[in-house]
Amino acid sequence: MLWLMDTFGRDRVNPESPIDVAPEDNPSNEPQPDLIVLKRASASFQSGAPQPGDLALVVEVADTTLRFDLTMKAGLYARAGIVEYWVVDVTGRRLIVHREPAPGGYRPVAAYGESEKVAPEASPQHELLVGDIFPLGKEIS
Amino acid sequence: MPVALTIAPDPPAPLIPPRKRWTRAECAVLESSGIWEQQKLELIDGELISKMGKGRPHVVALTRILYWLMDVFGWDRVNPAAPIDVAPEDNPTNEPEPDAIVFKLPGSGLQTVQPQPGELALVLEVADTTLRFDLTVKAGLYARAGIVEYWVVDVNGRRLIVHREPCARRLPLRGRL
Repeated sequence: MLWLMDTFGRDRVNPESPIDVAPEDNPSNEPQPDLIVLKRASASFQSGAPQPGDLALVVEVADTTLRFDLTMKAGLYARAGIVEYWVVDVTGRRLIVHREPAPGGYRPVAAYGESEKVAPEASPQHELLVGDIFPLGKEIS
Repeated sequence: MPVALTIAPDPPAPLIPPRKRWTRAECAVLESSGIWEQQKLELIDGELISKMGKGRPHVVALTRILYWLMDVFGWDRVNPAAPIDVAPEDNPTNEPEPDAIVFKLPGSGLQTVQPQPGELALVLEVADTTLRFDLTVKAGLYARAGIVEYWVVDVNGRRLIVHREPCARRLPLRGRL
């Protein structure tokens, strides 16, 4: 979260915010991603939920919900046209990056390991070392 | 100038007919079965509370206060939406997930074990639709757990309600405008 705040600016990052998705999915869905990054300052969304087109990046942190996040939620976000979707696989210590949404799903889905770096498309100059996301598992857990 | 709130916590609503009280152990089984995936539920007093339906005012207030807490305490002492343990007698049927917690010690925000009430310097809930619940049931739960300070951000009333000096029996409510 802190890394996203530094990269995009605090006023563009929201924790636990409900969002709208594709019009046909909205009646039975109101997902609440762990983190969202908005394309403009969050204070400008005072009443309605952010629309999919307002989002630069959606992040879910998955420990027990990995399969659901990679299937149902990926489909939901792809149909909504959310441009980039990251799943933090806590158990597998990987970051799974979804890009290029289409109605059938995200086409390139890439898993990055702890020693690899990823930059969000919305901020390509900022690289995140995947291993920095996770707790020092060997020592603490 | 802060004002003291004198409203007494509501007694628990009578459960007629008696409701099934869920336990943490049962919830863990259901959670791992997958049927609850992404439901965002919180176990309070044996009941499952939905954490869905947050409005933008809730999100904006939480975002602002999280940043402020991280500036004040350091980012490695603050966790958003972390499940915590409470009093031993309450743990079997409660697993609250406050909007924000602040640890007493630096670095504790990165620990991988469930936070214990004694480790916490501050617990915070942002209330838009849940104000009464947060001021009664949750305040009692956190007081019994001995959580030293509990803040409720009253979004609609534009107030911060500060609870201190927890005691097991009855919670003294102190408010600040």
